[in-house]
Amino acid sequence: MIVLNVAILAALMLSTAITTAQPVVIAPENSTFSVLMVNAEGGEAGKRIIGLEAIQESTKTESVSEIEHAAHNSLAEDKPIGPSDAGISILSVPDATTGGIVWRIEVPGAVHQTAISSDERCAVAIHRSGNGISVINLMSFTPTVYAELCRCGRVARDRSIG
Amino acid sequence: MTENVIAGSGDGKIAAINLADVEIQVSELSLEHYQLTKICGTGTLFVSTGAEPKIRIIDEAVIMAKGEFVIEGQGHKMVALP
Repeated sequence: MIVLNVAILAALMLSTAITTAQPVVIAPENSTFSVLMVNAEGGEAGKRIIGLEAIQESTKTESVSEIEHAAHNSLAEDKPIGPSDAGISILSVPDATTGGIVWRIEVPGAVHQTAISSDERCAVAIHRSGNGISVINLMSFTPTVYAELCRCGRVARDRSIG
Repeated sequence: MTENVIAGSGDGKIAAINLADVEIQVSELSLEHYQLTKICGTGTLFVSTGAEPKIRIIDEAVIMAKGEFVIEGQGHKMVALP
């Protein structure tokens, strides 16, 4: 399966996976496929999370761990959501403590922005080109619903990124 | 105290709106395609732009830049971790 687009704009940050002593801001670096963690008080640069570039065929690579590989392959057995011609983007879920990518989630079509629900059970990815949104279950890290809308813009949660 | 901040990207301005008295404070940023993120508890906004690899740190009280730092690549929407 060919990945048509990459959601580096849409790295989901899960607070449960984050342990930081000081306030931190995550700054996407689009063309370099990375995000920079910055001290929110003074803007000092911290850890840079890399590896948000396009992956893969649907085969295991060195950059994909066993658990990621299993999770990825499990998606193929599920009914895909969204338009059949939408292509696939990848939502990356980095661990801010280690800088590693803990999950990669397939969603239909290019992603513009993402947001996490206040109870942290769901994430939403905006697909502007497809005028739809994907809802991702953050308990299982699987996309569950695709909803077509008239016109998608931006999401308004304060922990959105991208 | 400013209780909310919005951006008007059409003419390169940023506007802070005090919801208590609806006072609007406007400042020129002259950035293209910028995105701002309010950093709660710090009195600052971080503003990125796709036009250059740089993040401005804005003092929320006066809506003026008080610092900046360099990133790699294009900036986009940021997120402040809780």
